[in-house]
Amino acid sequence: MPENILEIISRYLAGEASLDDIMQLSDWLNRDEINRLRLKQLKRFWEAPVRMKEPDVPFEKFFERIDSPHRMAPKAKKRHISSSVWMISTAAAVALLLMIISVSVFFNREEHPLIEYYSYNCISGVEQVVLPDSSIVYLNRGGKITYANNYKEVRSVTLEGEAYFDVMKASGLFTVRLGSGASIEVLGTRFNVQALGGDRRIVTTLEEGSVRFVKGEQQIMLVPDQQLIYDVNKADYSIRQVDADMYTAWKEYIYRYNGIIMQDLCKELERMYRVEIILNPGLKNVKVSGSFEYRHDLDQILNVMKKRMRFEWKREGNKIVIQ
Amino acid sequence: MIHELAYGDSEAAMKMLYNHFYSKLMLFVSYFIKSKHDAEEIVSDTFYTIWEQRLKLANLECIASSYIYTIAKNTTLLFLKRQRKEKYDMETDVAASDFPAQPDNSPEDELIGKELMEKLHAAIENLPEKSRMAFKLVREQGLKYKEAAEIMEISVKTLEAHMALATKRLLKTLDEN
Repeated sequence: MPENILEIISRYLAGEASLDDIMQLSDWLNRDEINRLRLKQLKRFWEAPVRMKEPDVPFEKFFERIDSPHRMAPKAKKRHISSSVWMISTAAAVALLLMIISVSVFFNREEHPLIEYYSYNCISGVEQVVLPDSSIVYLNRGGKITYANNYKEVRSVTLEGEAYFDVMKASGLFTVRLGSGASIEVLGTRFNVQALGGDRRIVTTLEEGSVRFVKGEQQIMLVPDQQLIYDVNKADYSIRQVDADMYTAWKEYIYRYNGIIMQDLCKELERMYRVEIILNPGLKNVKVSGSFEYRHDLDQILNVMKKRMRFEWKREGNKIVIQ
Repeated sequence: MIHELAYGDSEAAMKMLYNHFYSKLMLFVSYFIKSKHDAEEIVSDTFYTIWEQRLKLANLECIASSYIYTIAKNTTLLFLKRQRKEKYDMETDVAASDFPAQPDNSPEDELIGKELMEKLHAAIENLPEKSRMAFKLVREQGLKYKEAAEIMEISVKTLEAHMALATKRLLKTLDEN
């Protein structure tokens, strides 16, 4: 019996198995018929329904208690407990680094299973998110990724901003949905997606494997080191040969731009540094290239650009005005 | 949803949250507490905390199930602490026979008979406390490894070890029968 088979079986039952786990598990299953029987039995046990009763105390009764001014004769003790609970819980939530979730689509839970959406917001730096199938997503600053709790059945995520995907090979497509109705379909591969300038422009760079870009009737296949730039407004695209590493360097905390127009760069900076940038219209279409690191703050970046491009900038609260 | 709870139709939002989580939390609290009456009080206190903190929750942008479980856990731990202090009479606990809620078995099964199913459940109940908790959080509450580990304040690696032990005992039970 392989040493770690117990962990693999556990992960399989819990729906946390990776592709590698599945392969090792199938080796183990092929070794002996008894193994196959055991796994079936375990699965049957695992899936036996767990009885969940309706609340014994109906909500109305509970709510009456908490909402009346005389509720539970508000004990000073209780209030104290609540606030200390809050402190502990906040710490736990913050430790997550990434902000999580939201509950939505409730209605009748008898008929519709609850759908929970898990959203990861990358507030600063680069964050790594591991999806339920062990696919890895690096989120760039300001990026946001969302998936539902039925992810194991439908491998689909929604992306805002920039992310690098390392997708596990598994049965079924992996789909990245983008705000503008476009999507990217892959099997197992590594690629980078930038939904730039508030989703106006989508840049997909393929590092390994193959991806299919889909927008309405249009479908485009990419091969490694190809980059697809899709202009959402014009519904127009172009493909070029690139060095894919250059576009994925940000996950090592380096940001590189090559011939991007100033307007798009400002949109990026707005997202990454959570500011509003008011740009002199004359500078909108100026092309810029360069790189900076995560540790640089916005003032440093603007000061370097100011010298090269000869503009002046000032900060007004949360606004940056570039003249 | 959390926005609704804080600023919109708070009562309706709270009702949805309550109906969705009540049974799950009762089961969860039963991992620590034997008395049904006490568990009801703890679950009620948990919702009370969520209700009281709803404005602060809104600032969090969003909320995780693991967050709600964490509130429930902390409420339970405080309860147990208080109980120990007050030298609570443990005898009253044992009396509650319908609690903790036992998962339903499916008796008509060619692979596992009712008897074997009960033995498997017993194997889980006989696990060391932490392993039992880990297994139940993942199986009965349907939590992800990461969420369960967070609630237990252990690493995912440690959780995996607990899960492996549970699986080992289950396999042993199957082999013996």
